[in-house]
Amino acid sequence: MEQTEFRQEVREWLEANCPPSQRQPADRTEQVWSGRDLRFPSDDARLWFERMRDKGWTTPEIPTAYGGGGLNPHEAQILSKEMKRIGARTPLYDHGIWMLAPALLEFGNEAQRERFLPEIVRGEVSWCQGYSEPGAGSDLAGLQTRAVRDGDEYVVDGAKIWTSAGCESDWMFCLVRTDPEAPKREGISFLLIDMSTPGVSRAPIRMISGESEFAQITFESVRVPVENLVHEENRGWEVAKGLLRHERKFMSEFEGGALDPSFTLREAALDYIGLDAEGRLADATLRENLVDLEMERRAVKLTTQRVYAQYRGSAPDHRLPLIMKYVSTETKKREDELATDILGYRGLGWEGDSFTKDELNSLRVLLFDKALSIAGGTSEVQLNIISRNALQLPQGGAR
Amino acid sequence: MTAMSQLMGDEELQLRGAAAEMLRKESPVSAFRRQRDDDCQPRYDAALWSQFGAMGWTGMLVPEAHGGLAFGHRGVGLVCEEMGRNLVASPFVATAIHAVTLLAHGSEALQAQLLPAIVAAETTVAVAVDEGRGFAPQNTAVTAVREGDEYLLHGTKSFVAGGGHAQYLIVLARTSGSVGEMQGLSLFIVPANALEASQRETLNMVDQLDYANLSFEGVRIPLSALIGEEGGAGAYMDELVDVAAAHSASELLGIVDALFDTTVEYLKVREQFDAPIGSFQALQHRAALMFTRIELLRSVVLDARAALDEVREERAIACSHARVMALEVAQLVGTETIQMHGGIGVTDELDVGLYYKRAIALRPTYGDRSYHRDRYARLSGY
Repeated sequence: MEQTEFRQEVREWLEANCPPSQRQPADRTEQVWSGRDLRFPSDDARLWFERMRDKGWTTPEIPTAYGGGGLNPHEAQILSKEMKRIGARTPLYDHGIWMLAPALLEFGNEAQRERFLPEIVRGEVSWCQGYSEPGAGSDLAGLQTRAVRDGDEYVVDGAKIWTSAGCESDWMFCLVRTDPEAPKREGISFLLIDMSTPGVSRAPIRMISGESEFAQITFESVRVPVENLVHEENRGWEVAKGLLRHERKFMSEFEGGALDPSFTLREAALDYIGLDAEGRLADATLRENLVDLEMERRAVKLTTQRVYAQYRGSAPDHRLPLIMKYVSTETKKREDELATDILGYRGLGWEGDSFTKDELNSLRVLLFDKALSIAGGTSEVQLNIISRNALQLPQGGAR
Repeated sequence: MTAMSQLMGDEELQLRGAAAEMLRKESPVSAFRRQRDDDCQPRYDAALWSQFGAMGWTGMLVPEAHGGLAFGHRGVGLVCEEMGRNLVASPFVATAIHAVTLLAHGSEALQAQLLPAIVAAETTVAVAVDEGRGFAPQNTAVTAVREGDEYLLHGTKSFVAGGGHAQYLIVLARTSGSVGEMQGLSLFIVPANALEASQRETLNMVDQLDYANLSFEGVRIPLSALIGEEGGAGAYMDELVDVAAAHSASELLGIVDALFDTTVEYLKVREQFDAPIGSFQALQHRAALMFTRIELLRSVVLDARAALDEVREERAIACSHARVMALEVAQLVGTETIQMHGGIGVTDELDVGLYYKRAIALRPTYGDRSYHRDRYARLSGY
């Protein structure tokens, strides 16, 4: 069978090419992020990146014409599974890989693809996403950042907020208002902005987790060439919707961030609480909570598999993927809360050598993950989408 | 967990279609309502039972050597789902699932005697396990004492599903050990006519199906009535718990699907405050949440059936998970369906109440929610 052959080929290649040091979880400092100043935490990380890049497997599904891996979704899943099997690190991180590249393939023109995709594949440029604004969160289509056409350029004024890696990125793909008179979804365009353009300023936002993962960006008379418009003027909402699907898919498959503790909840419970004389977890209530959480995780995992299995079947249920962002992010938050309960005082350390790395990370993750059900469409927005698109409930009632 | 277990093959899709069509036509909820209103005894339709045989469903778990189809648990689960969806009253679960699972441990002679009759839907069997408020086989107090070439039974079984009308009874009895132990339990096949009429007390329970308390006082059965090893029933019961859990979850999934479809439809047509109530976000979000719970449940139930067919090591975990989640989701969807229908939701006129009652009747059988959550924890090492 062809699939089996491909799997075998992938397995052998990974075995031969993935350095042993790259087969364990990478913490924040060990991740390789795209950028003009692409840097590597170690020689092995560089080697692993370069080998994957040369195969196009930093971006498995991008066509080979642009330097990508040219894999179909099923092959890409095999690659991903084989990497997970040996614990191989993701060789390159970038929002352009996860979100912009699929959008350019769907909506970009040939010149844009040729210009931007190879850079994304090679990790030479880092991208951030400019969607939310101070006045446009869940109501994304209410965004106010203006782009006014002036000859061969747009002049952009406004502000973006909650921009992941906004302080470090080289480029931004963003939504701007090009027609303030049109109904709000019909006056939006999708624009690519070089962050080094005069008039762009950025400021980090300090989060409850202590991290500054997000930035606020302001644009003052920023001039952007018209060839950076993706798709047609005033049709940016179509691009945004397509891209949001990729973002939600990415978020629902996100198997924990770099900070996630190395222990499972079960291991933590056995370690921190222990078993009683009858071999039961010594805290009966936590035992119940752990059962519930493990069942929930198992159900989400099986459902993720069902979504994938469906893609290969003849009649996929289009309603099923709509629940995944909601269930996976809400389950992750529950898991984090339970971890903190299990660790007790030891899970409350902010920093310092008195606590293990896992203990410190557990707390940071608890705080950081609160954003999971807010970013990329809040849980409440997800429920709106389910009720509208899966259940076809009538719209327009009291909200 | 393999991805393929989450996909239905052509055979299964055909079976689902056939089951859905047959049961919708021959056994809609209105049929059950009529049986209830007319107090028909037995509650199931004998002609429908024969059709279960003709469709091959009664032989799905029976080996081909005994006339079965060996279609497996994926197939049986689909039938259970459609039974739940249409609220079918049938001896199918007790006979073709529970009894067949236990009879697999019986002697060749016993299997040759009973299995072909089950496949042909010519006989019915009830499994008598419980004696108290719930499922606790270790607390079995009914005894079987060997006297010469017979066993003498002593004691009473309670809440036996199908126990009022089944032609055969499979009885869990203690041959050694003491109450509280899983060791020393044995299974026996007893023809129902070995009991006097006074030894069968039929019960009128919430789902209005056939339940009975059965007194086995003084019943004598031959040694050949023993199923499997004397004292070995603990392991057989553990297997039955898995099977019963997976398929009660399947039946509950069908019930939940039917209730949810009804609710979504009602949200679209019922108007208050000059708008369909389904346009109100307070109700939309509750409906969307139910949808997520139901779809998660569906994945878990499909996996449990596959785990049984593939005899996977984690099948007990898979089955207990399906059972716990099915009970939780059934409670959520049952109560929400009634609530969202408002006043009419608490009338007997609506089928919603019938579904809700069937769902709660499935709570204690072969382990309630606590039992299976605890089992899941033990199996997971905590």
